[in-house]
Amino acid sequence: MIRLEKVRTGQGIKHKLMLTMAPLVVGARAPDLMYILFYRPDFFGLPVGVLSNSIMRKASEWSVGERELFAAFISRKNECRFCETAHTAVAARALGKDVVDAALRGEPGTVSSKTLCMLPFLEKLTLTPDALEPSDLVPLRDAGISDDAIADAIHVCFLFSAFNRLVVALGCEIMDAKQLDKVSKMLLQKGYDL
Amino acid sequence: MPSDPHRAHLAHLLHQLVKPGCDTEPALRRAILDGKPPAGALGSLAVKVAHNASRITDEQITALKEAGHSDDAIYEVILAASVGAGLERLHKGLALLGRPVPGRGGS
Repeated sequence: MIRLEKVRTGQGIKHKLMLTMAPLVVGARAPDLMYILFYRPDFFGLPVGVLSNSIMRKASEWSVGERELFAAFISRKNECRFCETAHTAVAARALGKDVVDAALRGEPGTVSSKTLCMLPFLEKLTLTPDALEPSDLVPLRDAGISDDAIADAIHVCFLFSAFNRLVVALGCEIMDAKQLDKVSKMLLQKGYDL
Repeated sequence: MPSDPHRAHLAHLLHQLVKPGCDTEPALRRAILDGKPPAGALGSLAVKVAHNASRITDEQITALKEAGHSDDAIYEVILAASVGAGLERLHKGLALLGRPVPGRGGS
C-alpha cells in the first residue's frame, strides 16, 4: 500500500478522475505507480512520462523489447519486484517469454549477443557505479556495440534506477496477473506518455 | 559530438523537480538531486532512498509525519532522491563515453 495518504487517496480533479476511470480504461485496478504519476502530475508524472517515452520508445539501435529487457534486468538487480514483473511482461510480449526468461538468466542464443553483452555493464552501473572503469567499455566495443547504443542503454539504467527507488520507497504493491496483462499490453502499444 | 535526444526532456523534468512553490525548498531538492543531501530528517530519508530504499519502513514515514513533515514534503524528497540516484549513474556512464553530462550541478 502506498505509504503517503494524500498520494493514495488522490488530490485534485485529474487525480481522482484517473482513480475512478482507470478500471474502465485499463480493465483492472490502477497500478500503484499510476497513483504516484497522477499525483501533482506537473511536478513529476507528466515530465517523466515524456522522458520515459523518449528513452524507451523513440528510435534506437536497441529494439523496444530489448530496452524493456534491460529495464526488467536493472529492476531485478535493484530488487524492485513491481518494476521487474511489469517490464518482464512487456519484454515477453515483444520478444517472447522463453527468450526473455533465458536472457535474464544470461543464457546465450536467445536474444542478440550484443544484448547479452550489455547486461554485465548495466549490472555494474546499477549496483556499483563508482567501480566503473574505461576498461568496462572494451567488451561492448569488441561486440560491435556503438557508443550511441551504449548511451541509450545507460539512459535506461538512469530511468529505472530512479523508478525502482521511488516505487520501493513509496510502497507500491506488485501488480496481480490481471493488472500485469492489461498494463504490459498498454505499455507496449501506447508507451509511457501520460 | 552526437546530440543527446533525451536532453531537453530530462532538463524539463529536473526544472519541475526544483521549482518553487512546493512544501520543501528548491535548494533542498537541488542538493538531493546532486547527491548532496543536508543533515536532518529529510536528508537522512534522501540518503536511504538513494542507497537502501528497500529498508524504508512504514514506521520511518510515520515518524517523519509525526515530526511535522507533510506528505508532500516526503513525496518531494523521495522523488528527488530517486532521480538523483539515476542521475549519478547517467553521469558515470556518459562520462566513460566522453559525452556531456546533463542534469547534475544545475546544468
